[in-house]
Amino acid sequence: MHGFLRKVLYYAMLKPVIFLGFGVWVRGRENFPADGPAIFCVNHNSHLDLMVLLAICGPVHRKVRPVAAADYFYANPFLRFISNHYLRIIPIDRTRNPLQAFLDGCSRELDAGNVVLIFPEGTRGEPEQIQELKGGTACLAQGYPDIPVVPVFLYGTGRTLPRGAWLPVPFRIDAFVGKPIEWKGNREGFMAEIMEFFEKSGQQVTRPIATLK
Amino acid sequence: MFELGLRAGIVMAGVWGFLVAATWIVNRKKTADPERDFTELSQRMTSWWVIIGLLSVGLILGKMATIVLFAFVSYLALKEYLTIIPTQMQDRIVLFWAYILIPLQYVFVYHGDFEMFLVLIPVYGLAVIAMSMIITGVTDGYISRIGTIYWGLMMTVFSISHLAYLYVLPEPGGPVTGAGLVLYAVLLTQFNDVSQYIWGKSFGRRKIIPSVSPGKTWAGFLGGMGTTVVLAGLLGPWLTPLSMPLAALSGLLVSVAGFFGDLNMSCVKRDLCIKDTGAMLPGHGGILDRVDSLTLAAPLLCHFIRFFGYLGDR
Repeated sequence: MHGFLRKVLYYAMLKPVIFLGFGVWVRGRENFPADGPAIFCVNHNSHLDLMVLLAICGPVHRKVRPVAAADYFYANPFLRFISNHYLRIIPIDRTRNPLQAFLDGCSRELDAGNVVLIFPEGTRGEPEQIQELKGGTACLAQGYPDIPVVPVFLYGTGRTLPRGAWLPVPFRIDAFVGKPIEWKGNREGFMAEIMEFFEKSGQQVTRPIATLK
Repeated sequence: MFELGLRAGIVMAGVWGFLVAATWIVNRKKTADPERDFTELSQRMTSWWVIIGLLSVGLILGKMATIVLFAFVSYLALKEYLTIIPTQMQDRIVLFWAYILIPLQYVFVYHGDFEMFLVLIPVYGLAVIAMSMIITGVTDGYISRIGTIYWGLMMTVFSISHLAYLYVLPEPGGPVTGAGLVLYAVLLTQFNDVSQYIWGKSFGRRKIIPSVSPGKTWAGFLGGMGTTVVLAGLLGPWLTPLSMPLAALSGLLVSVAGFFGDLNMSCVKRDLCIKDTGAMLPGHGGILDRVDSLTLAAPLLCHFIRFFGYLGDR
């Protein structure tokens, strides 16, 4: 039943709201893999990030499993229900050895052929500001060197629905999908490549970022 | 279905014939000269199919569909405008009110309430935007913030809604229908754009305002104007209540206002140092790149038709 409802919500609500309501300008859509397993590495500004990613990534959307903090997404029974059956998160208990929990949770999904969605900044932070990236993605990539790691840079979601706001105010959203990043045996270098992609995409955004406060 | 009217229906069929012929010519050129890159031209053609398709569906379905269509165009244009201008986070609530004005404006269009339609944005919008901006409590850049938002609202909502208002001008039942007037306005402005472009490409040498747009030449402007005046003179007496000389004059008005509307958006883009406002319509750019000429032409044409076509005997 959840599968059917997920489908209805996806095509009748998510896609129209994201594409007609907000509008997304996607560059590099062909870089999304046709099927799992894969790792998506996305910058994080807003709760909309997940929704936009699901809307633009094509048929593989059914396999996307976002890594999320258990203390936030399991905060109450309702959220827990939504998180488990509709967002289908990989819950991470941040209180005890979060890295191990992260690697275990992600490995399970990758082994099942799913797509793990990671926000390497960890939190949404200030709107449209890139924060330092955490190294978990690199650790995971080291264990799965053959699985494509696709970097995605989103801009505009933080303007549309920033952290702490309840009212979305529509702006067009820009999405940049990069070529898969290869594992070359070096964690720092791997994360630096992702960061470089985020920054390079950020410079291509057609509007003056500096004026945002 | 029956609101379209015979005359508008015939003109619409003509537009489709024109589109099919143009697509055929582009395809023939493509096969004749496979070396050249026709990507932009083909993309433009595809976008025209979408635009003309949506407009036709709207006009055939009737008043509600047409008005909803133009309300959506206003929404997309305003969203694109707010996306490219620098906006501040604390102004989100002001932008929210700007968006709320769109459905209100089109409700007044639907009911043919000319007075409220005219004053909603200049009077109530002015007050709401100012009040909500003051409540943010931020005075940094106050003048430019309020100026850009208010101006954008005038360009994308107030202006474009005049196209939709044309739909409710005629009394139902006559040979002149609202659909015909809307078709007349859209056809003239868009045809003027295309013919200015073609005249400019073919004969253009002397630039008019190179600092704003290097592509605008005297040949393009005057050639396009002549073509539009002829088209207006031919179609006007049939689709609108205007006599032939007045219809030709309305063509002149559209041509000049369309030209400046186009440059209007060019100035905005120059100021922001961007090339296109978006990528919604492949080959054209964003939706603002397509409706730019309407921003000045639509209100002027609407008032011209109302003044000379509908106020004379009152």
